[in-house]
Amino acid sequence: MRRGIVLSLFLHLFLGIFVMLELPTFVMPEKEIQQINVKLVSAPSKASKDVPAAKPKPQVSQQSAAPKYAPKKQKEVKQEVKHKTKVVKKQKSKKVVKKKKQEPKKAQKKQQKQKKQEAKKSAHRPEKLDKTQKKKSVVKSNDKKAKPAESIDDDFLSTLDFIDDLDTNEKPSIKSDEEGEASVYDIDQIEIAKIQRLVQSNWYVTAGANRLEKKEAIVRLSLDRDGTVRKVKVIKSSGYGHFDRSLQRAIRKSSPLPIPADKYEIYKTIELRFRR
Amino acid sequence: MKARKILLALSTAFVAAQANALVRIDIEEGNVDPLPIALTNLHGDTTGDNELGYNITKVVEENLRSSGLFNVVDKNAFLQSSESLKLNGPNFEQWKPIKVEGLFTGTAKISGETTDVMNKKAVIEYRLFDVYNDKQTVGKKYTAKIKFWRHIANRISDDIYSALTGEAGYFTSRIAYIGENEVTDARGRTKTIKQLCVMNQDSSSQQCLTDGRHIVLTPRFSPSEQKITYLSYANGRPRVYILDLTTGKQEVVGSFKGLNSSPRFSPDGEELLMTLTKDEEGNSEIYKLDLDSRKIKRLTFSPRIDTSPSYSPDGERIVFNSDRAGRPALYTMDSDGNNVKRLTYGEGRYYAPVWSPRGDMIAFVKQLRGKFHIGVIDIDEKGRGYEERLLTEGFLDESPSWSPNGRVIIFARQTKQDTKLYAVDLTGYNLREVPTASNASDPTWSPLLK
Repeated sequence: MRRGIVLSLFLHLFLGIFVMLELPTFVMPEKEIQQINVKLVSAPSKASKDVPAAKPKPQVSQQSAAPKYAPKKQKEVKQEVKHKTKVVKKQKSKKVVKKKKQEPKKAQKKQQKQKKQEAKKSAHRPEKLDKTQKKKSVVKSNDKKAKPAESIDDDFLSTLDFIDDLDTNEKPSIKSDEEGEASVYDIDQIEIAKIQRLVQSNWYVTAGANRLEKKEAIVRLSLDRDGTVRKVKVIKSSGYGHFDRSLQRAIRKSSPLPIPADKYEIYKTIELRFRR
Repeated sequence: MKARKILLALSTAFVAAQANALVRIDIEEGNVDPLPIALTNLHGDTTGDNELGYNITKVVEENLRSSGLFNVVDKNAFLQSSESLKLNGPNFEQWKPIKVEGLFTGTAKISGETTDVMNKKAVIEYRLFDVYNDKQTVGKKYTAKIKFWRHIANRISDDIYSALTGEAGYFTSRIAYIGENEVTDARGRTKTIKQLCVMNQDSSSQQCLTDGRHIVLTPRFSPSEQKITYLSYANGRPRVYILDLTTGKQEVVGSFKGLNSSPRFSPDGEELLMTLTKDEEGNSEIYKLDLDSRKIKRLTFSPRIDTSPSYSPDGERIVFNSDRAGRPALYTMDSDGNNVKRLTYGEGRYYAPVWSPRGDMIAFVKQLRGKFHIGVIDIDEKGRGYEERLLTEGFLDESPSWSPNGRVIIFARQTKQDTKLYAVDLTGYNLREVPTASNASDPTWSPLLK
């Protein structure tokens, strides 16, 4: 009996010690979790890279509304920087290769001059660094100090040049107009309203008819430079012949449409959505 | 510096890429003025042809204008002369400046050897052009005896109405009503007689069908045939009659104990709904009469007044008038009398509901603060009413009846002086008098004539 008790005691002790010492090493879940953590750490850097890419949309809408007010300039410029860096990012690999070979010295000089200015705008730097780290040159950048620094600074430099340009030009959107380029976002609501009002006045609808059935049709127009309607194409029919015919008449009657002469590129093809 | 150039190029490319997005403009409001339309006289080779063409065009013009949906442009504004039109056909460039939604042109030709002018053959060919889209919207050729020229004109009006509004027309139809005439009897006394009269919807060809010896009431057209059901008091007893306008045959279909009132056809014309007081003393209930078997079925069972039944166009529901909850209101039920639901909850008293042939509305009479109104209530898919609008206001507006396309409501308006027929668009616009030969009440609109 005693032997049995002693044996069971030993067994229990042994098991207790085993559990205390060995089990943690057996289970070892922490290491894997740590690995996952590492991955998670790297993941946010990707996310942070995507953040500026997602931003331009709100910028643009502000951009069109803002230029009239002087105090907002600085904000615009900052936004513009993000905006442009996004472009750079897309095409960067080509650029970096070229710049490395051709312009290391110039870049270094400029870099020294403008390093102080950069320091103020340090907010943008991490983004830049993150991006470069993702490139193949990342390994090199860790080994050698000079060359990768050039490439990074080269990018900084060019963005800074651009900032200077924007500072001197008070209204960036107008500048792009002068160059014959314009974006959809340059459209003035008044321009839209003029076209809307004209077409509406020429669109005869029979009031109260088939009120329970909602009708919608989309028409694509090709316009000449003076606003004359050249082509009318119903790209989504309402399913009602008289309805489609009535809006085509409305468009023909409204020709030429009052489009701004300097924005023909925007207005040369437009869509009208008729709903009733 | 080169980097800067590249950047500039890239940025402009980016902007250009954005420019590819299309400008889209929403047009949700239109011009609700009447559609401008140009009607040129149908022309022919002889004076007879031209006269016929002129008459037809005039009827078309009057029809379209009376609908309130068309603005028939004054012929003085035309740029292309009638001679040029006759020789060269329409020159669209000369019609665009007057901004018309449609251009009506065509020819009239009379042929045949008969000496009886009215039986000669008329060939009417017309086209409606869309001058902006360089297309013909609609075009037809009608051949008929000259005596049916007005019928052709009404058919053409329906064609044009339908092509431009997307709805069926209603010009090829008739209106029946109760005409009131003063007559002097053999002893020299004047008295008012009530007759059942009928006319074209444009007030032409008026004629009375009963002699006026007995009072006639509540004529109702069948929605599917040229038949009228009405009440007549012969020998002091009310009877329900059916008159077939195409054959002229008349028959009594119901003569029940007590009051018989408000008969109305089912959509297929095979049943009559009516109100009778035969089962309970003084209490009106709604019954359904099968015209084939002459069997009668009671549909309502409330101790209060139930009356003025009207079928939905699919024949599945019936709207009626009842004071079971106090003031007279409108209720709906299944065609077998089950599933009764209250439809109106507004203040005032509701009477005389009529379901629109399109099914999406019910017209009614509403008495509110001493005035009478013709109103409509919108009906959703589940048969619930969700929006009520009053279209008219008068000392006594009553007896609404829908045009066959469900677009216009004709009703009787009684003033202190007289009782006349009026029509109003379901939007509440275009209230106009519909001329009749005498004082008139209780109008009912026929289905389209074939």
